[in-house]
Amino acid sequence: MNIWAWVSRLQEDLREAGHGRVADLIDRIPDDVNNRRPDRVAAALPEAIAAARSLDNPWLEVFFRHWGLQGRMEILSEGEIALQEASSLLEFAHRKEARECPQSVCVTQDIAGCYANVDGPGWAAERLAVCEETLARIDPTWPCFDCISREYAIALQDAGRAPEAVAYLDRQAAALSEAGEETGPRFRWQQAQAVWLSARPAEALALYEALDGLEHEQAEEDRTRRAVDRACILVELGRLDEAHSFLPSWDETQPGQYDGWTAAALAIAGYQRELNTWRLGAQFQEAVDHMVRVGAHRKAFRIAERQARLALARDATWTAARALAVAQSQLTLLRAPLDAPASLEQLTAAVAEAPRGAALPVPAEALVDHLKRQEGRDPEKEAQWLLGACLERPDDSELALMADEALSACGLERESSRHLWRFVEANPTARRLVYRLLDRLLKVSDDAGVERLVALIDPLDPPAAHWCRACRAHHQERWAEVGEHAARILALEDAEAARRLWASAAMAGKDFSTAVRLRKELEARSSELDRDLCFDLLTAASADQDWETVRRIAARMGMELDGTEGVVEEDWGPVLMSIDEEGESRTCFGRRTGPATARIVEPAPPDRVQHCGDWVVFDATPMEEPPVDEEARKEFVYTYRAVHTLQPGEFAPGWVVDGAGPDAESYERFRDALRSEGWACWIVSSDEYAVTDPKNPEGERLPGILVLVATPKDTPDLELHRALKKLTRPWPHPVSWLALAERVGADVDHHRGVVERYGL
Amino acid sequence: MASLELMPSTFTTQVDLGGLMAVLGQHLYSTPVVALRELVQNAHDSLRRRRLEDGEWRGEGRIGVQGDPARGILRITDTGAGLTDHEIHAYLATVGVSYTRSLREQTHSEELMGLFGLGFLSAFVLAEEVTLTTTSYQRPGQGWRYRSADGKSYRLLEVPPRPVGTEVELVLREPFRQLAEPGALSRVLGKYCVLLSEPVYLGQAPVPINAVPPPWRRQPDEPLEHPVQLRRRRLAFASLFEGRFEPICAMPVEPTGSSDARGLLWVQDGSTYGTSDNRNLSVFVRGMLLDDDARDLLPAWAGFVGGVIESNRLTPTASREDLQRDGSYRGVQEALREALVGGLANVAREDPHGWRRVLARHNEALLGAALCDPRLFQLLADDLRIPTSQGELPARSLRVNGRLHLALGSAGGFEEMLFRSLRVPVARGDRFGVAPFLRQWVALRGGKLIEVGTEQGNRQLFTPETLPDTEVEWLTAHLADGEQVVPARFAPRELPLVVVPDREAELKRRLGSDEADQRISVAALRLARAFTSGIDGSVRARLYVNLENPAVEVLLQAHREARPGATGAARVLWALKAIMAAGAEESQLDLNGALAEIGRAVQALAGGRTA
Repeated sequence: MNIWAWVSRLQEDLREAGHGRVADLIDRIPDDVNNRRPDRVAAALPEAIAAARSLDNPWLEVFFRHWGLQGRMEILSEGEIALQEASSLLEFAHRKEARECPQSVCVTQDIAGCYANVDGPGWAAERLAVCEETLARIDPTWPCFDCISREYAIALQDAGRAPEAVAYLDRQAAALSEAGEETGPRFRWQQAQAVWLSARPAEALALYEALDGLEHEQAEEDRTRRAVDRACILVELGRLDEAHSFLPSWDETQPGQYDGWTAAALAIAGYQRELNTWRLGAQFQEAVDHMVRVGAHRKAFRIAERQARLALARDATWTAARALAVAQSQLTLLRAPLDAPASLEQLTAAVAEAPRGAALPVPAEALVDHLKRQEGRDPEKEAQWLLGACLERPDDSELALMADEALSACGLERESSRHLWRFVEANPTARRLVYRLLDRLLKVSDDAGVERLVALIDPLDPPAAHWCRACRAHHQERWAEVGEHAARILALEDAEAARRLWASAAMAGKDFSTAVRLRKELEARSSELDRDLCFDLLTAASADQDWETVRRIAARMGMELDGTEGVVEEDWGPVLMSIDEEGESRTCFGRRTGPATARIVEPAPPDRVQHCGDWVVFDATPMEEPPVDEEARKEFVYTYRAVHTLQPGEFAPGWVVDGAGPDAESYERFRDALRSEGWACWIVSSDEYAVTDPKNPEGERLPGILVLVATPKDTPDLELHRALKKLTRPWPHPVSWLALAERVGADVDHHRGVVERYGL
Repeated sequence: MASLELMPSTFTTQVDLGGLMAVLGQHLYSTPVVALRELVQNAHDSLRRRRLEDGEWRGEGRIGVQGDPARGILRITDTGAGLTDHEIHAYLATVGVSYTRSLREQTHSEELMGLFGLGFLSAFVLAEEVTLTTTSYQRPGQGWRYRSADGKSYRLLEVPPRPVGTEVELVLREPFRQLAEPGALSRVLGKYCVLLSEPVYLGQAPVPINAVPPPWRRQPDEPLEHPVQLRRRRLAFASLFEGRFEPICAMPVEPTGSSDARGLLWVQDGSTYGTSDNRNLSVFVRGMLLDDDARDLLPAWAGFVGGVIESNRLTPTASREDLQRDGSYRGVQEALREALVGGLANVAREDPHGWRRVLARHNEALLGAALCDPRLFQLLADDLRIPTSQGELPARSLRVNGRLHLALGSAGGFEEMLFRSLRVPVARGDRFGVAPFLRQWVALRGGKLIEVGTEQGNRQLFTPETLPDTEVEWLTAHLADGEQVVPARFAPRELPLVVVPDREAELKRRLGSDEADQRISVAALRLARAFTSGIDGSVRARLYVNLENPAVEVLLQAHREARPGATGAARVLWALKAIMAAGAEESQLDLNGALAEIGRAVQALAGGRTA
């Protein structure tokens, strides 16, 4: 039975009907699942399902969703969080329009697989029942026979009946062979695993070795995953050095292998104690967090237990206690606790007996300074000390801040938030801690958290509460609201930071006069020359066309202006402007007209927004530093980021003139003639640009020229066309402006000919 | 010239070649040109051997390949070490015994490539007769001619000496005669031999086909090249290996870690979409093109990348057309990924024009790539565009008041209507890579991602408010059709009410039905029901009533003041609800009744009589 035949047929039909992209996804998604690339599966799946729906093809929808679930369950080990999709797919795949699809068999297995991740041993009986039911519907010629037989064996193993699994797989292998089918490498892997779990590690090892020697694509795909098993077997055989060399690195390991990986790593680290570091602990933590997040309770329980044991072995009682708490909470989520309570009880006792709150190396009040002087620091140990010291000195901000840093370094974001909340609740006026917490909340866009924080501190420290609100508004780009809160703060205290934040919001909201006012206040308050502030003020004042302020600040910074009053529009030489165009930045030449203003002189290419002639304000802080080398400095042109347009240039879209270039003098005449009309002209080709010589197409190429030209919007295109024709007539070679010629409907063939002959 | 044949003898090879030749012809060498490659490789090895063993010799290395299409003859000559009669017996006639290999093992020279005996036998795949004439540097006074029609039995004659070196002449089989055409030869050898260190001359051409060295090979004392010049040279070299696309920008591959690979990677011109796979990688091992489709050495996300590398650590498989997936393979894989990630960052920094083209051509594929490597994500987070309800926009343009909207529901749901009225850009979660990309983007850049179409995301659109129970009851009586009325505030304020179905409750109902019992097998259904038993399915849909909406405000006021028009006004809102929900799949509301209600309202407003 070829259950995939319909897929190949559909693929062909889809290609013929022009749906090549969906046809590709039919290959791509299973391929990405098999090669264990969950990110790519997640990227492509929504599109695939949407396509199946828009084609109104329920079979195809079943196919894609099944593969999506496969990836989630096998690679990411998802349990509880995949149940909704597994149930919904089961229902969908059995509707009238989809139930004949052969993949409805696979979908039935998907929900069983999901429960295997939730709590494999706890749901073993139900999973066996599902497999039995499905196997009754198919025969060994179905590829599902191999697959479901393995699922059945896994369920037996989970139920602690591994020897039965060995016998069962042997029977299924015989049935396959009788039907003329071969057992694939995955089937053989399952057999080897069942042998291993039947307490026959030495035999199992030989089977794994044979599999590793196989030249088979599927065997190759599974190599890393099998290596985790192999490492576990070697541990059982007491060959720990070999186990270590076989265990894949943490980076290579995916969640589907976390269970085996942590088991092997725990054993190896027990033997090689130098491997048991806080970093290894952090990897276990990552594994636990993942399993908790995806609702794989049994695995979360087991790994948390291992994490606790690992931590005990390196005297990190605090970590062990935390892991123990996770294991306890997961225990309540197991369907059938089985041996879990007993092992947890034993672990609880071990944690209780371990030395609590390791003694501080120095008295609590000296701890911060002591730690700052240390080298080769261990954040786990420090976190333990610091939290202990915090208990002794609950109002010590320095200690609390450092404890937060140590927790963050261990990757314990939740604990560090909890720690900050605890401190802030007890000390609502400790601003540094309040603001640290605020940053954390804004980073994860926790609005409710910010509300809670504001409610907590408002009665005691209203300016800080407004600061929190202002920062949130800034984060959410609600510029006017930033001002409202900043104004409230300034009414209460003279806060420099509030002025700076408000000024930046005012700039973003294009309220330039407010930005100027605030920055002038800041400037008046600073005794020394604050160059960054002056640059910012120049930008704001230029945008506000407050030329008097521009002149005053420029003078303060030692910039020399020609005039002494009125609008600043001088010629300060070339400058590069970086202009944001809907998320893409483009850099073009301008002439600087003052400390923070420039006029764009380079026309835009035909397909880009025209900025030529725009008078713009830029952020007066240069985007790159000039080179150190004296010579290179002479050629250097500063680049600035344009922030506001004072006056649009009103130029029409640009045109390209392309071909074999004239000598420099002729080009200059051409350029000056165009510019004298108030038009724009700019060479964009480099010295290396060369075009075909029609007289000698195979030989040396001619130096080329690529020029952009543009005229004001009210100039007719035909006028430009005629001017170009007249001005380029004396040039030794004809050049082309094909697009313009096409627009005005003149000399089109001539320009096409030039393009052809000169290979443009 | 029979008189010159001094010692004619007939010998047989030491294995049964019949089966072997069939394997070589049909399986090992899937393309006959590979056999030609092997012969050039033998010539090359012979030259390297002479340089290694014949310390005196300072002559010009030269490999010549001549075709005579009229006669169907192909001739490969070299000025290499040549063979003695003993060596001919030992290496040409014994499959698997390779002088080159043993020499390589002895000298550790990485420039020797072949398995001489096997390579030579491959000539019989192409030829009906093979003649090899040779003079060894060890016996410059002797010449030998080997001739065989099938490789199985051969004759060896002593002939007058030729200049030291070897000439192999093939009388091509009919199907392969076109190989002797100069065009075909140049095509094949131009690709396979381009990295060989000894010059290969085709026909009478004055310049060898491998005259241009690859851009990554530099002599130690060679001056540094101008970056622009180097960029052009790289692109020109890249285009030799890129048949379908033009390379946009090239990135160097340098030896690193356990990888000795050198070469170039490039981004192809030619648009891709997320799952396109145009990966193209040519791999040279010891100077000879071994695999021109080694795409698996490139990351799976790099569907828009081509490349050419050379490595002496990669090991060919027995077929000599593929590579063994060993530790070196994985080392090179890793190095190529690094070269690509680092290379793209360089392009972004140093070649803005090229970078713009890369982004324009491969936006979607890069969305997928960014998800696979955090460094790429950093690089691309602000440059890529997201398909949205308002066209393609960078992610930051999606952020409005700190929120980004992502539509995950199916088309035609309430979300679509809501967003049309909201007029904020909504990212299309059904397009390649969009949903996971935005999830990572908010983690990096901040902002709240509202995943509309999920129960949790939907609820974030509404801020629940409380109303007295009597008012909720009144609203329920006049506006609801089984939905739960939820007083709330939401944008846009112009929208008075909206129905949001509870999809989990719907799933619970379907799985709980008798129909499910008939269709789904018992054990599986039991598992699914174990899940749905945890769902509160009592509410199948919620009717959010917008307290910000002026009409709702007036309606509630009218109800509070017990104005007579309140009920009629509520019916108009009910009708509006029914009409808006009409497009939704699950709607069972009475559309005609709703339209009639509107009609009545218009009549009443126009002062007409209502029916």
